[in-house]
Amino acid sequence: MLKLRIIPCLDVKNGRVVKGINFIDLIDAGSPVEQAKIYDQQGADELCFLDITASVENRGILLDIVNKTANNCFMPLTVGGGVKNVEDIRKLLFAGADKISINSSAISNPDLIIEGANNFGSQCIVVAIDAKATKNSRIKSGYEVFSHGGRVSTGLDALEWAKRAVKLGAGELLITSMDRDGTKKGFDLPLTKKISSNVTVPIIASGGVGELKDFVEGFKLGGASGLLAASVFHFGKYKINEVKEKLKRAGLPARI
Amino acid sequence: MKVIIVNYNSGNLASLYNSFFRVATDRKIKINLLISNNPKEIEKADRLVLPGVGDFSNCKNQLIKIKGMEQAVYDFVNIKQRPFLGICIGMQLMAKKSFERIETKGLGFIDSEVKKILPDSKIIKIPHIGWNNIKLVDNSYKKSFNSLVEGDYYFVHSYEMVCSRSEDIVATVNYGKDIVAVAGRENILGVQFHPEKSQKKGQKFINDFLSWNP
Repeated sequence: MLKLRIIPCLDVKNGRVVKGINFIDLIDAGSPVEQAKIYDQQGADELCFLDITASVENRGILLDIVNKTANNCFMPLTVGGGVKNVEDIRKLLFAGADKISINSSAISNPDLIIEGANNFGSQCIVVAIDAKATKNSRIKSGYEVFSHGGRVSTGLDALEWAKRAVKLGAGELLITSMDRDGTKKGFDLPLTKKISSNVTVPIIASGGVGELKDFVEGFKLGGASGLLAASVFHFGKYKINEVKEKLKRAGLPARI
Repeated sequence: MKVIIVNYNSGNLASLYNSFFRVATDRKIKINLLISNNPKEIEKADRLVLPGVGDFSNCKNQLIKIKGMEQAVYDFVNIKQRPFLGICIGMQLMAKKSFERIETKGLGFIDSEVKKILPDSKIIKIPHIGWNNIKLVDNSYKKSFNSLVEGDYYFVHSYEMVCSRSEDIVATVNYGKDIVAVAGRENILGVQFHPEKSQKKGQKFINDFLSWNP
């Protein structure tokens, strides 16, 4: 049986792991290479590395840090941040990434999803969607997509964009709730469920985990295939294994 | 023992190299480990690893772009008959043909075709991404590949190898239905999962491959 994935996320700024609340107010949490080693030993199912200010600063991702991180972990690595074209994807894959997460560029140039999938296979193209609840009646799902690290409102409906991204060739979607990110109030379950039940690819949910029960709910009620968390792991509140044992006790498949 | 990982521009080979290097160092296996795109080098290999990520036809095109490479791999498997390992698309390349995007001929080592995974159930998501446990169906591999008896390995694929001969199926993985996880015969073995991404379990498998005497 396929196991549910627990994925620590390294939000990287200027080569250091940081963690913010609601996408701002960044706190330093250490070196990405050291963090990667720790999570590898703890038995994380994957690792996610996001260069969170690359798009805003209009520069490419830090290839040498990606490379050092990849060389220190024997698990799959997803990398994102500032990916603009097929060449960027190729460079990151050659630096050691297994999957590439694209966000802002996929919105401004959806063809990038097609080109990425055709060149490297759908399984390596992850479309990341940062979503925020909205009362705007034109956005039917109730969630709007934001780009550039949550700074730019796009007017796109998160559910419609998710469906379109899959159609274009995304192999996985990383759904982040901007309302919940860093708040420790739990995943945005309606958002996760809305998307997971309407697309054919796996969903990774992100944003808001605070307690062990949040992981159980993310899978059971949100329908996610993987769950992403940052601060609860970085600052040592929970170890990966504690989460997995909790999942097992709740009757969910986890790799221990 | 000369172990060569074939480099045909199909992606990053560092993690594969690192995994083999780490296993050999930890278990004190003396190997001369090389990443090579030179068919002449491949002639001298004792063990050959064919990796591959992404798209079947892109991988195949990259492989045949290197003059003499397809023949060198073919000779290694069929004439020298030394231990050969295909990983992910490297495993699928062992098939006769693939239907990924466009119909493309494979190396034809295993009587099989590569097709899109069509699960019986609608709730099954494609690609098959993540850790899944395999089931050894050919017990003759139990002794040499103890690592294949049970445990979780990391999979990421949307296409599966469909074997014509059941005796070529070594292990299966269940994802809505049984899918070939390991295929092989005589001196060749192909794994759909990524041993280099499968932490300790994957390292055990690499150790078994390095000690394998088919």
